[in-house]
Amino acid sequence: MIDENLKNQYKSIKAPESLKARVMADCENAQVQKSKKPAYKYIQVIAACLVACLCIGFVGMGMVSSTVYLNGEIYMGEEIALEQNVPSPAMQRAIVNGGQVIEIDAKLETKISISAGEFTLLDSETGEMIYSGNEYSVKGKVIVQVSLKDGENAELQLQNILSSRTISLENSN
Amino acid sequence: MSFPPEKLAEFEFLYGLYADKLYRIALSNLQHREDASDIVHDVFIKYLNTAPVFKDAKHQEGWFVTVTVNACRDLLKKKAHRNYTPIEEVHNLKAEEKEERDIVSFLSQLPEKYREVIVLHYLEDYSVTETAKLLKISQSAVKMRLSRGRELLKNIMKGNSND
Repeated sequence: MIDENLKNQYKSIKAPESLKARVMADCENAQVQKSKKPAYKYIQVIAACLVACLCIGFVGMGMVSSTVYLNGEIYMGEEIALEQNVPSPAMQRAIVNGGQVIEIDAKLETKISISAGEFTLLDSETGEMIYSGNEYSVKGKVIVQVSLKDGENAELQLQNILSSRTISLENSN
Repeated sequence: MSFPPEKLAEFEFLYGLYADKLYRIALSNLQHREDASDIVHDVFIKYLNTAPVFKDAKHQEGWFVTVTVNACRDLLKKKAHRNYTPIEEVHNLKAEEKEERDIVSFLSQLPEKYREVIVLHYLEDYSVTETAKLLKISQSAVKMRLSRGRELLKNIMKGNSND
C-alpha cells in the first residue's frame, strides 16, 4: 500500500528555508521581549520582600512590646493556673495569698485589665505598690498579683499600640 | 538587550531537529504550503512562549507533534475563510515538488482521522502506542482507523493509477 518509494517521497519533503529565517527572527524578538520582564518581576519581588519585612517587623515589635514572665521565665502561653502561696525565688516580696507571681515588662505604654477579681501592680525593682484595681496603664517592669475569689476565673488583658494579648487565669482554688 | 547566543543556538538546534517533520505532518493534513509553514512557525513560537519542561527527548518530540496536529485540526475547522489553492492546481512544479504533490494528493483524499494515523504510523514511523498517545485516543481506535484508512488509501491509489 505505502511502498518504500512513496515513503521516501514523503520523507524528502523539507520545510522551506524562508520559514527558518522567519522563525529565528521571531525567536529573537520574543527573547528580547522576555528579557524585559525580569526587571519588573524583580521590582515586584523586592517590594513583596519589603512589605513582608515590615509586617514581620511590626509583628515582632508587637510580640516584644510587652513580655510576660511567669515565676521568672518568659511565658508565651494563653493560660495561667493560679495557685496559693507560690514563692518566686527572686521576688520574695511578691508572695501574696491567692496569687501567682506574674511580671510584665512593658516596653510601650500598656493597658492592663482584668475581667474579674482584681490585680495589684508592684514595682519590679522596689516592690512598691503602684496600683490596685482592675485596669491600669503602665510602662516598664511591673509585678502583677492577681486576686480571685474561690472558683472565679478571669482574663488578664494586655493592650498597647502594637499588640493585644489575653491570658486566661484559671483559679485552682 | 543582547540575545544570549547559547539560547539562540539551542533553539536553532531544536528547529533543525523537528521543523521538517512538523512541516511534513502539517502539509499532509492541510495540503497547503503556506498554511503548513504558518503552523510550524506558530508551534515554535508557542514553544518559546510557554517554555514547557520535558521529561526526556521523546516527551519533547511528542509535545511538538501533538501541538502541530492540534493546530492543523483547528485550522481545518476555520478553512472556509481562506482561498484554498490545492497543490494539484499549481503549475510549473519542480521535480521534487511534483513528488510532494503525489503523496500529499493521496493523503488529501482521506478523511482527517484516517489521514492522521496513516501519516504518524506509516510515514513518521510511530508505533501504535505512540500514535495513540500523540492523538490522545485509544490503541484500539488507532488500529481501527489504520485498518479503515489502509482500505481507503488502497482504493484511492488504485483509482489514481487507473486515471
